[in-house]
Amino acid sequence: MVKYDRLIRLVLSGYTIFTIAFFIYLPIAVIYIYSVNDTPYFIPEWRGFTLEWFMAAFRRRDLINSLYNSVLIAIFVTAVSMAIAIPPSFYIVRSRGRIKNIFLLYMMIPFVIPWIIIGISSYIFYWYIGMPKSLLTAALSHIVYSIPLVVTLLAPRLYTMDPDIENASMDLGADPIQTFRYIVFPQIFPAMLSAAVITFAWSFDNFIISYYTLGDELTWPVWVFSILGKVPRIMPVINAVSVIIITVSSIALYIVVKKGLVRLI
Amino acid sequence: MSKDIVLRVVDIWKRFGQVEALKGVSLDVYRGELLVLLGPSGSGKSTLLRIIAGLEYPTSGKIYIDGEDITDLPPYKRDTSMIFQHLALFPHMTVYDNVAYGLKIRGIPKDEIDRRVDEVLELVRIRHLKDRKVTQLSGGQQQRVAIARSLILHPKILLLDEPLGALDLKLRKELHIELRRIHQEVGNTWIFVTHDQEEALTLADRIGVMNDGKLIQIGDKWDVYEQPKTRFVAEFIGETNIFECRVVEVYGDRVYAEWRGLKLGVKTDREVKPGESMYLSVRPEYIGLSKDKPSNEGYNIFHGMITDEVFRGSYVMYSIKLDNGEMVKVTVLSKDAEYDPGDEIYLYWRVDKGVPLKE
Repeated sequence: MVKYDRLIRLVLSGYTIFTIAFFIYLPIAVIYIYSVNDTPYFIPEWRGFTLEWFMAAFRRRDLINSLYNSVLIAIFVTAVSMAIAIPPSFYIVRSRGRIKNIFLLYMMIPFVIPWIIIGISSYIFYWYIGMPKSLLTAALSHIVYSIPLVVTLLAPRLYTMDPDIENASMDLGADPIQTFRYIVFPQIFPAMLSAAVITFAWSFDNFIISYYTLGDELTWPVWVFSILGKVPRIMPVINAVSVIIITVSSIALYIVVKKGLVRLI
Repeated sequence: MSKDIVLRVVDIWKRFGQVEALKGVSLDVYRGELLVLLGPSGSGKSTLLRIIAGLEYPTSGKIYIDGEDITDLPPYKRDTSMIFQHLALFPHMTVYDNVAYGLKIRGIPKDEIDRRVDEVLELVRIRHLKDRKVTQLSGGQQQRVAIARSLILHPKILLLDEPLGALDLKLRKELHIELRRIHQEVGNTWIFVTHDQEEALTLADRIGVMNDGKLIQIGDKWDVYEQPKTRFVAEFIGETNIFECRVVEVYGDRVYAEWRGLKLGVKTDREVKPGESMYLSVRPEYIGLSKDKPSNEGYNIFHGMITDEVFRGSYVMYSIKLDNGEMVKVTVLSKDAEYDPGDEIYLYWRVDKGVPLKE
């Protein structure tokens, strides 16, 4: 076997690089190129460099507004769902055998339900209770479905925390609130930050639930969907905004990983 | 030592679901003593310790410290401190921050905290490690941080839950000596839980032996070793031979019993009647060996053959097959171990070294 080790490793690394480069970064590279190509059409031809599409993006009030709405909802959803999800995460992780598995199962179920079903059922729910659809209803639905996400992301970290560390804190005279503040929080902060980053991205990105629960105010993905094919010369504008989003979020991710705030493994 | 009771545990029961972890444990702990609770895993000793610390709530029973009922007090209001099995140091903090934690929570001024941290780190001899992160320390050093973190609060009672379990034997033995020194310097009451009988004998003033949720025997460590009350205690602490015999003649405290065709002399304070069955425990080190038949008064003397020897460093353990076919273990100091397997041998023990057991 040792003889083939080098070969296997070479093939595996080539395969990994190819997969990442071809399937993930090549499409993204195309977006970057067309965001500065001086043509409104996807033609396989370089027509010269332009910043026209970026300028056009900043001129569109509806586009800027949808981005603003997306960021607003994502911040709100992240903050609220984290606050809601932490206590049950602890409860589930610290409960004994069977109960833990049952809870974790119920937390996982939303991940296997098609989002469109969740979107439609949310739509029906708000209609049923007579709540007018708005940014708030969309945010509430995001919160509901990001709670399992947060629990799933936090649980492994909490599970590795020795409960006796909290017991030690209380044994040394700290009440439960002081124990959370000085002992638990600093330890779970990195996991919370990763969960927050992923929740933010998930909410920002969500289309289907937003589509069924928004009112007149649109989020960025829903706005893109609503405008595609209806307005001429809009595609390169969307490319330009996509480039900004990808660049900003990549830099943000780089910073948190670099600072050791989020550990990838 | 004065017999001033600092902790009183009264009829503690604890049930986890279907499992009875503690079945009516009562215990008095004297001020300044080092009590070791010894028992196999699952015997309830750690649960009892956690109930004393306030980390578990008993199903029934009461805990008193200096006469005050503390059963309902949360852990952060009790004058006890616990050293946990896995130490439970705060991994995101330095040695200083770990040790200072209890004082900071109590709002003690910074310069007093600094002084007391230095003092206690001096006591456990890790002052030079003050600014290290605890995750960078060795197992033995972490041990000392855990002890310092508790002792800085001058708790009335220090509770230690098998804190040395994860360390290797040599380090453990070093720390036994350290722990005894620290206990003597600090002078407060310690309750130490372990399943290691050697650790118990090394550290303890008194030993309480627990099994199956009950406190079976408690007393001075010499008494527990030499006068075990039950077969469990005799077998759990040290090595022993158990002879299942039947009482045949009783003359006051002197009893003769029949053991697989041999007649044994036994000394007992207990009332026994002829015909009743009895377990006799005889420690291997109390049995002597001789090639010639000894003629001592007041000894049990039997004949047999050595079948096996195990060298254990400072002593040798012989397995001897008696003429009635029963096996007996005998230990002899290595310097006196002049026998070989196959040798015919006489073995003997003083009648009062055989301890009759209840069950």
